[in-house]
Amino acid sequence: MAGGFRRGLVHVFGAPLRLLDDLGHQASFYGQALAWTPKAVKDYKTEQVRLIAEVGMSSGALAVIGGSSIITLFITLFAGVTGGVQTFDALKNLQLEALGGFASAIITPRLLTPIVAGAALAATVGSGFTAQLGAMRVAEEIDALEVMGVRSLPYLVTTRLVAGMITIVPIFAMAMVGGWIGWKVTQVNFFGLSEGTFNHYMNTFMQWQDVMFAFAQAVGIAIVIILIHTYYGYTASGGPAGVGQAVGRAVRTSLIAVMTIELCIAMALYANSDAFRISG
Amino acid sequence: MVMTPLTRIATPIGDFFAFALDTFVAVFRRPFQWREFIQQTWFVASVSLGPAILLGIPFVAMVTFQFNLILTELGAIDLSGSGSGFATITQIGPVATTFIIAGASSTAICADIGARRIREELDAMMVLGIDPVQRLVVPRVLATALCAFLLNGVMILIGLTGGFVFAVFLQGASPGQYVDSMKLLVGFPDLVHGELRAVAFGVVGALVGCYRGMTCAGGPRGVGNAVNETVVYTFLALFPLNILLTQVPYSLGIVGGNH
Repeated sequence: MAGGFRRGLVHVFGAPLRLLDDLGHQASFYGQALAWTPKAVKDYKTEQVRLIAEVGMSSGALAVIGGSSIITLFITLFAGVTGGVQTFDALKNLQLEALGGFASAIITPRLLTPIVAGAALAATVGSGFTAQLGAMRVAEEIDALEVMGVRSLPYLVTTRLVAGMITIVPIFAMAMVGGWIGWKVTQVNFFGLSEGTFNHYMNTFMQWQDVMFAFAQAVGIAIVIILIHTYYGYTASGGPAGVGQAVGRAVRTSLIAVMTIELCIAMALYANSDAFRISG
Repeated sequence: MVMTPLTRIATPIGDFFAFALDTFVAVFRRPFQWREFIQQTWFVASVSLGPAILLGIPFVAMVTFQFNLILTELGAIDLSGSGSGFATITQIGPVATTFIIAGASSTAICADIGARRIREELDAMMVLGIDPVQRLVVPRVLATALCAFLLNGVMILIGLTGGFVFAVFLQGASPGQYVDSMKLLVGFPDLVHGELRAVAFGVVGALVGCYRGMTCAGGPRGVGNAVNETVVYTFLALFPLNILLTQVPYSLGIVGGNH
């Protein structure tokens, strides 16, 4: 009985220490994964090229419906339609529906694409990595690699990190175009807004700087998503059920991290920028 | 049967609709599994509440922050309450709720049911004459729908409070004006509209999680892929469904247009 009480105490008061322990493990994993970048790029070129193709196209059932690039495009396209529908109704209440192009020019690069494409990439690219690496860990393939003298961290994790950073930028570009197309088609072709009006306000308020900042956010989220998802896959345990749980935990963590990182980057880049001018 | 690309896409979709129909029929079959329902509600709430709060704050802060930059430029920062009220209640609340349902609840449900599938517990249940749809799926779907309803409330609360903190303490709006302008663009019908959409997304998310869990292949890669596909399919279903459920009430004149 006393032993049970003591174990309970250790369990309760040990929780913050275990959390610190876990964060330390993650930090050292991330540090190592980043530090191996030169070796991974130099020594594992074939694996690198194969992974770049795989990130863009996915494998298994997801490849049948077009892979991560098409899925992300589809999701942002529909997110753009949602934005078009919702802002059209709101602006109509103020009798300002002509400003639809203005809303698209501001909201698509600053909010819609980073949030929606970030979540879509975490779901497709990221959790695919967790499932792969988790399966390798549980099937003891990672241990087999180590026994054969291949360092598993640069071979499996760093190559994926580099592949993700290379691939996410074009996918993100496609996603942003998808958002604009969805928005414009909704307001011009369905709600009958004049195309010239839409284009005029869109071109007037469109800022190249916003688009560039969105890509800074894309690179930031690429690093975060892939590090978190590979960590949970690389350290999965507990058989097939454990792999499923690892994917779930990784998605939860990375969705939170993606939003937080994007907020930090957005505040750092936009807070003091005076590029946005309406009143001159 | 020859598996052309078309049948490879169409067969699982048809299967999913059949599964959803089975679940709907099983909802009305007695006895209802109260114990499982309450346990699952607790389980879904416990896996999603923490992520909901942590995800909600940056999500809302980002939108409010950008919207206030525009308003500051126009010299109308005192109207920021209307922007956060409108964005939070009509879109951010339901969409952020779905992110949480897809990322936290559906994945956990899929991992749980997938583990039962490969341990052959589901087959054992069927041999004993227990219907897994009625015993496992129905309580999970209803529990997730209830949690989605409550999570949307949490999201709106976080949204309005977070918007207040950003607008008033960081970007110089006046607190009274913020609260006063909050109901400029939205009203009670919009709140009900958002809550109903959150419930619909909860049902879809739970159905996808249960379906993918029950059809997952054996082996570690099978369960991992099933959970991965659950998140992707829930996101894929979210936006088309959201457009449909957003636009139809506007077109019918149930919400909007009377401000």
